[in-house]
Amino acid sequence: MYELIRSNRRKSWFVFIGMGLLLITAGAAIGFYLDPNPESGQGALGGIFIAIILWAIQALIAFLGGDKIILNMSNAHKISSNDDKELFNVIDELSIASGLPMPDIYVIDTPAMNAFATGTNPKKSVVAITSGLRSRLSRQEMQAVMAHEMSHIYNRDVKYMTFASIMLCTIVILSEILLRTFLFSGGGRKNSSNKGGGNGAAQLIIIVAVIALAILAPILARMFYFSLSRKREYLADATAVNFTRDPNSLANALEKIAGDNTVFDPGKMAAAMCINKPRLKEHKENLSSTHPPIQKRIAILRALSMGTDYDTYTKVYASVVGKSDLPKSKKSKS
Amino acid sequence: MTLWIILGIVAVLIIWIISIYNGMVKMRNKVDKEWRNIDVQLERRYSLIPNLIETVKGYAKHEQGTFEKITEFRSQAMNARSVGEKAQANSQLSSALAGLTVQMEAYPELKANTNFLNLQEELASTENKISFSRSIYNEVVMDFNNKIQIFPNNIFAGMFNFKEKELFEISTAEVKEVPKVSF
Repeated sequence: MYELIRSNRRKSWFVFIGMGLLLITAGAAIGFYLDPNPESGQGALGGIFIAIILWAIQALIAFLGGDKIILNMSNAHKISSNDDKELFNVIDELSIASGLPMPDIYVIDTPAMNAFATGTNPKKSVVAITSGLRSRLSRQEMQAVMAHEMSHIYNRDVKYMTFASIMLCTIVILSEILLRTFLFSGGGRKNSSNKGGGNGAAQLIIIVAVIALAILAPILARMFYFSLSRKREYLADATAVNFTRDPNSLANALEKIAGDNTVFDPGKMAAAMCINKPRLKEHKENLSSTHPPIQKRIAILRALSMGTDYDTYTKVYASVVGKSDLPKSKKSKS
Repeated sequence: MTLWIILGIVAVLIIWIISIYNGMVKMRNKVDKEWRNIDVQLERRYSLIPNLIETVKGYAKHEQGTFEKITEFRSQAMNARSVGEKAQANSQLSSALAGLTVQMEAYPELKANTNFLNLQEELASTENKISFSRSIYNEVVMDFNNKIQIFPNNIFAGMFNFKEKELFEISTAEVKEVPKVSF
């Protein structure tokens, strides 16, 4: 089993390495732009150093206070078995099915229909469901939704996505710094370097390249991030039906959720862990591609008549999505 | 020199056998642990049933036959010794309880009884837990049986008296799906 976690990890590392390289390049570009001295290379190295420090600090904050996301929501409250016996039992059953320790359970008072999981360590994880969703699902549908959330914990998605989203944030911050320094200095670097000699044209090319990078890096990083997120989303569906062996209930629940139009903003970090993309206020809609189209997810689930194991899901996924690039789950052996 | 080589080979052999033995012990303990997980849930169900019948009795006097049948299956299940017997008896009990649920639909007054609703929820949850623990148990048993049957492990399994474990199987009609006990 642990071998499979490792192979799972390896696949996700590709995306991480891609984002890590972007991060380093962005750092190097800033450093180089501020101190363009090709001989010493100090500027570039310093930039990389700053980029990594920036990332590490954010990672540390996220990991120390990761599950605080939910505590910061004013309308979220933790429930015990007496508050909602059915919800509690459903999750208790899933903790047996998955072998995970019992997470903390939160209900968020909002008519929006969503659910999410958080916590980078399975021993200290949290699952949350909005009261809007809670009240509109049958027991089986709720089980299906919570199985999806528990699968995020099971597949260590919270950890991957936290790392990835911090990388994305850092790249965005770095690019913004880069662009702003450029705008404020009005490209004035040119003058100072002209003193050094007649390589103005080369300098100009480098500056153009740096600016192009500043614009492209965040776009690329977002693409990496969203592709990772969408795959982990399909994977969570696959793992969930593996636990419950009831793909139709998950499909039913997703259909109900698809019809929901209420605004719900759990924060950037939690968004990737939601059952469906949270409907944000308009100016934030660009976050929406953390989730695959819900219709495709439903189509896969509805086609799972011959089995609920990981291999069947992968096959159906390949025929619906047209690619066979689903990461492996720990559970994929059965 | 030859003596040392022979001693070396013997030492490697002994270490190899020890690792096989330890591997089998670990898996057997895992099977036992998963079995206890099922057993806890089975016991929980046995203890819920009398309460349920007590609560329902007052409302549904005509269902006496069903109650008797459930009580009988319950005691059969409690008296069952081997895994196979328990599986058989509990599978009967599961379908009898599912039948009762359907019959209770005819008594809308019951839906207003919180005690009844709580018991129904507890039973539904226990049923799911049994079914989830069952699939984990069966998976572990399958791994264990494979382990002690493959060569050369089977030689040592015989020597150290490792026996195949029984699967917790339910009648084929129910195998494919988790029993959907919606109350």
